[in-house]
Amino acid sequence: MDRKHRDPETVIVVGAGLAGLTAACALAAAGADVTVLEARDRVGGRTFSVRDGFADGQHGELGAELVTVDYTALTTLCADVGVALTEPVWIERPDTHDDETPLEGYLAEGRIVVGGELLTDSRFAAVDDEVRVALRDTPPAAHEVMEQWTRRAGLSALARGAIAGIGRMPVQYDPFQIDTHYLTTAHTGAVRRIAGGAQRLAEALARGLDVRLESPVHTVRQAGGGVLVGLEDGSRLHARQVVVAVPAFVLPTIGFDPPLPATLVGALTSLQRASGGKVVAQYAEGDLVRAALSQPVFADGPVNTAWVSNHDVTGGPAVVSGFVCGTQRHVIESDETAFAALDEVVRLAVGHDVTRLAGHRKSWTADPWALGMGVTAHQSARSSLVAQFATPERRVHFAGDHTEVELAGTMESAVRSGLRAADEVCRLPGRLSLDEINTKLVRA
Amino acid sequence: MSTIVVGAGLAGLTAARRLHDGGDDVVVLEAQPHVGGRTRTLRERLQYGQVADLGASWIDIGQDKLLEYCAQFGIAITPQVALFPTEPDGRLCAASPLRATLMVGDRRLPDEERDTVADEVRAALATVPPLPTEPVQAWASRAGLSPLAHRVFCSQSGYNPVHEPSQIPMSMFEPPHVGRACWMMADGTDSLAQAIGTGLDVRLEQPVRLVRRGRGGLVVETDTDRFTARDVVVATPVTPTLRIGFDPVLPPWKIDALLATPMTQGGKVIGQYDHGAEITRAFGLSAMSDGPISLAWTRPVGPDDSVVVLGLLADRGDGVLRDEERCLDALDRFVAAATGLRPARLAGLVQDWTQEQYAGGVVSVLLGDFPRLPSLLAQSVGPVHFAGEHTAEMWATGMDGALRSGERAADDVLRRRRVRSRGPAPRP
Repeated sequence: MDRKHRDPETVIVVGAGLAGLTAACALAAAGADVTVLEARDRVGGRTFSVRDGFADGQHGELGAELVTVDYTALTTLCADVGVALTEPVWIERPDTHDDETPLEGYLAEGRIVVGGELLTDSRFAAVDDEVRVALRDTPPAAHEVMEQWTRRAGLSALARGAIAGIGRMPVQYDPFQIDTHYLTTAHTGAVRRIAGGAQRLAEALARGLDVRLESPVHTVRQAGGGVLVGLEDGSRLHARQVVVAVPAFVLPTIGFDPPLPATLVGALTSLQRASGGKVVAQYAEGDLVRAALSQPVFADGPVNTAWVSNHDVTGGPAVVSGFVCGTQRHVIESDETAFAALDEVVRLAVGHDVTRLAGHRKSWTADPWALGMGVTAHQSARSSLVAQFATPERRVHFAGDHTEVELAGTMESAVRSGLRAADEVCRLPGRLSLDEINTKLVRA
Repeated sequence: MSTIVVGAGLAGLTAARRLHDGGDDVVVLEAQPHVGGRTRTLRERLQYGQVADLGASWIDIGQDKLLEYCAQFGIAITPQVALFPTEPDGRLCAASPLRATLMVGDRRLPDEERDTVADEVRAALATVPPLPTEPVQAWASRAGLSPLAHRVFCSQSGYNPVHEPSQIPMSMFEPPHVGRACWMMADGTDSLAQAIGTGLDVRLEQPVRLVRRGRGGLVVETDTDRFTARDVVVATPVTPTLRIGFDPVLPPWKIDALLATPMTQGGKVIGQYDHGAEITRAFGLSAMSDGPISLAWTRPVGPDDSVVVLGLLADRGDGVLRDEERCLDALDRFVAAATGLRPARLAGLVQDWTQEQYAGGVVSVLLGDFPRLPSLLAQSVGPVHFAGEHTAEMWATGMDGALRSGERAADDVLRRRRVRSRGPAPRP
């Protein structure tokens, strides 16, 4: 059937994060009548840029921020909606050889904090050597977790501390959860950021869409050729199809009718959660902070990774974001401990005391619409999990960074999943009545 | 020695006891300076020598292995209680816990209002039957519970099993399998671990870092020492198991199963108050709330009319559990709301299992044994065997499961010995 001859498809998208907004934009462009329901008072989900209290109109990132060369869908989308990306910055050592692992690429003198000290000179050289020998002589198995490997390889306490931040950086898991391919094969290389803040992309996508904020979804019921979406305030909206684009831990908070399949619920409850959040602060000593932290600084303490979040800004103060995860996440749960932990890493990297002008912190675990920083299933188990997460239930489709095998847990997989879900919606045929079949189909 | 058991919690000690009694030469290596693991009891923090159970508390009817061990080791139990009132028809359903003392915010719901809420949930269970695997919160929404009933029904997950309502299957609640007839260990929960461990060679403060194959058997390395054995029983919780190195590397199916079994996060707040008899009367069987403390109950009244109140808190990532004062203040307000009194707090403490490096959380998320991983978690990898509540075929996540798993792991060791000692087949 030609879609033009039918009423526009009505679609409700649940969640105005990158996945939901990408889907909504693509559907609107295809002529669908789209409503986006968002629980929070803002769009962007786990992309969340903050400016309040920061001098010179600078921003910090409390959520996702990096864009790598693999992010083809996101880069294209940014170009389509007129959102600029920054110039790239190398976050591994720029002189990393092709045959070196990411772990070796991140091990850089003056960028590793262990036990409250910056690793330099002979101490750094010894650790660098120890880690390289361990990688060569006792390489991690593909399915081994980082902590088991460091114990099996017999790494010293100093070397384990030196790589504790590097290992936690990619997906914010504790060492006992980290997939070793992040140490051995998953190079990041050069990264860009979204100019002016990662949330800009979500805001650009939302422009022109019917996005209803502060509208948490309570139920999703399929009946009679359509879907009835119930909001927490008791109101109901009807659509022919629904795209549910909420984080993996939020999905089972929604009452589905019929209930989600047992295998899907089983997969959802067996996920390793990245718990914790971020702390960002603006420091007065802009040039010194930029010099020390434009490339990441890794630590064995609660702030596992710290870097300048607005690396394209060349003057004025500097904004640094720090990641806190897993067993250390209590540090992000109060202003005092969160800012003290970030100040300490920045002080060590810069070499002397720094002046914090303003700051923000965010525990994604405490956020009821995230319930964690995210999930990045291990390579070995990911495909069978994604098979559960990405499969539509008749008129209900699923999107989100956890629903793609490749680049799972990133802004890129969020965007790709949104595009995929939009295509799924558009492919669903309209129902032909008997009359239409009788009049339109050729009979033998 | 012939077997090393890693971890002196209930599972490890049970395995060691069974092997020891069978004539095996067993050493138990424990990371902490005490035995008992997540059944730990403190005896110095409260007044009048009252015990503070930091982890597991309850023995339930049907936990026959646990009851059998208590009988065997002469563990005294407290008088039998039901944790929750029954329905008017005498049965227990997922709505019954709401008929206990129920607090919403800092207000105790009047009994009539409370029963209306419970009646609403009960009716919904009948008209919108939950799937066993349906998340509690998803069912509460699908069933169309009113906002109040929804909130208090979901808050049950904060104590059973200290987790989020979106992560718990309805089979945990309906039909109920705990709370009908329960007991505590009169002298503290760790008295069972102490009794099982008596006479065993338990080495404390020996955190195991690596289990590797060496010449003539397995080598187990701690921070300071090295032990060798023919077999090793790893009886640590899920998270600490993922922190031990294995050489050769554990097979993918084992690591995948461990990674698919995260642990619930939370802790316990314990306060000792005066006016014990009045608090006990006002609490009734137990008291629940929609606040940070989801369930609290009392131990039998102690000397000078003192009473120990224990409360469970799920870790919401909001800092409450890290802040002893906030937790104890929440317990004070909980007790005040439940009783209408302002009893003096004589002592108090908080146990945060999330922060315990050798626990990594409260229990494994194998709730209602779904999604059926315990048998995979239980299977041996050559001479390396596995025990712990998460490996139990029944009552996984409980003390009873820990005991069952310990016995099973000991049998795994002995069976391997029997099979190996037969040697090559005789030539014809």
